[in-house]
Amino acid sequence: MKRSNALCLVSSAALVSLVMATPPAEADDLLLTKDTIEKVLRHGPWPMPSKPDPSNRVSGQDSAIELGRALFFDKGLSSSGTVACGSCHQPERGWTDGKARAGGLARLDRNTQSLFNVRYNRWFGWDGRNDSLWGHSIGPILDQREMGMTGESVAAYVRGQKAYVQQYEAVFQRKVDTTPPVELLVDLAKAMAAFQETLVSGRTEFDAFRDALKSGDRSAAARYPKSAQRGLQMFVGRGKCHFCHSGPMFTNGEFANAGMRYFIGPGKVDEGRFGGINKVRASAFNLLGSYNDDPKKATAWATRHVKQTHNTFGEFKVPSLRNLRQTAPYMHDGSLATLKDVVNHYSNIDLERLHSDGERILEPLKLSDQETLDLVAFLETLSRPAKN
Amino acid sequence: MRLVRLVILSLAAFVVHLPNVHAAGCKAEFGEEMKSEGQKTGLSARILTAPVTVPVGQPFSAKVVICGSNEQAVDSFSIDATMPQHRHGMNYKPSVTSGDDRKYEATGLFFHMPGLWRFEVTVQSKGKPQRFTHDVIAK
Repeated sequence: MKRSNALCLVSSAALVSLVMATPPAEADDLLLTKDTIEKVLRHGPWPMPSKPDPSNRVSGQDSAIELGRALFFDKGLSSSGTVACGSCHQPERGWTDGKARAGGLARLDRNTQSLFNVRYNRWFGWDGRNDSLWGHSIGPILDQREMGMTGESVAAYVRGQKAYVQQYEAVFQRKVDTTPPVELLVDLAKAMAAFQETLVSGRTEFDAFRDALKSGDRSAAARYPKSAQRGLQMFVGRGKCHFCHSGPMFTNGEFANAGMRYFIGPGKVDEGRFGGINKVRASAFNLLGSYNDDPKKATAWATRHVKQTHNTFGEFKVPSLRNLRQTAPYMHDGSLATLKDVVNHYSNIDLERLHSDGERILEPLKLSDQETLDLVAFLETLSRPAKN
Repeated sequence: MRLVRLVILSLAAFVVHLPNVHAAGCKAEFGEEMKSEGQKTGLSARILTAPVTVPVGQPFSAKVVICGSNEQAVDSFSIDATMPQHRHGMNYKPSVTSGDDRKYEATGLFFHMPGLWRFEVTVQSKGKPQRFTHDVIAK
């Protein structure tokens, strides 16, 4: 045998072994039923369409976004000069801080929520204490445990910064010196909201899978890992997770009692949504108030109609499941360190912790080890970037 | 011939005095007929949502018309919706405006989960409550 022929044979064998090692995905590798596929399609497309916030007259404006970005990372907006919004909402940590419970000037009782996709929310905060992104941006600045400022101290600081004065007057077309402190605070919060509206996460491995299903490309869809497919089947099937974690954001934007503890110290209880409804109704910065820039108050319907009941006590926001890999630890108090811990929590949920007249959705799933791994595998595909 | 004319006039008089059981909106083209529950008062109800296919996660409105004889005034009207299988209702309380002919419009309705939802309309007529329901699947 000539040397060239031998080389050719070796090359061919290598090629065959390579092909065998990474076989093309077959449509048969698609495990989902027609009913499951129909449910899966409702979790897209991503990204969702977006439009400027009518309650914020500078929403979507480039100059406002730039001003908001500068303010967001400015520690001068805290009484100690050591804390900025970006201290807890760190871009490299998925816009959260990696800690169980947030800490500004003092330690807080809840986990820092990620700002990814925050523009799509209807309610803001674990208890929904605000109904707009700009309204929610005011809270930490004035909270004595977070940044510890007042309207007056914010005004004094901004008026002393030449760059801010120029930017503010260009964006809002009004003079810093003659703008009352509370109105200046609201305007600055609207600029910060404009910046946060830009924090939309990218397409994921799940989104590529979902879109392949939508277009009928079963071979492309079959490249989605089998373990993740089984986990997804559980998610929209026996697990009933999609009842609350619905739509492209994987949240219905509402609140639920997930059986977590709400005692936060001796004799101290976190009221959750119950307190949040009371706070948003009482807030001078809610969408029903005079700081809403939309004369029609079109986005205020939720605040106008929200219903307070005793069942809201101990309910917390249903979080989006996108980008979970970057945003550990989990739950409103950051008490669960890993995604596996979260799945195990629901698998073995303590029904005694739920309201006796509460929902019948949650029940112990008693998942096997493989089912737990499958569900985690699916959740992780909501963080991994799409390859196409 | 005189007899025929008499019969026609009698029939016309009967029609004029016939109770108005089909107020505008009570026609079958208007929305869906609601199921009458419990005590019967002779009233019926139809419901039409906007959009017609109720979305999950979007506020929507509904028009309801109560149908019956002219003598049956509706003294009060309320509307709600629940998920019977999950044992919970909406997180929002709708606002209701009433118009002519026992027509009502509810705004601020919001289904926060997919699945079976049951509209529940309760009216009071002559001191008697009457409940109507209508089931929809929200996706």
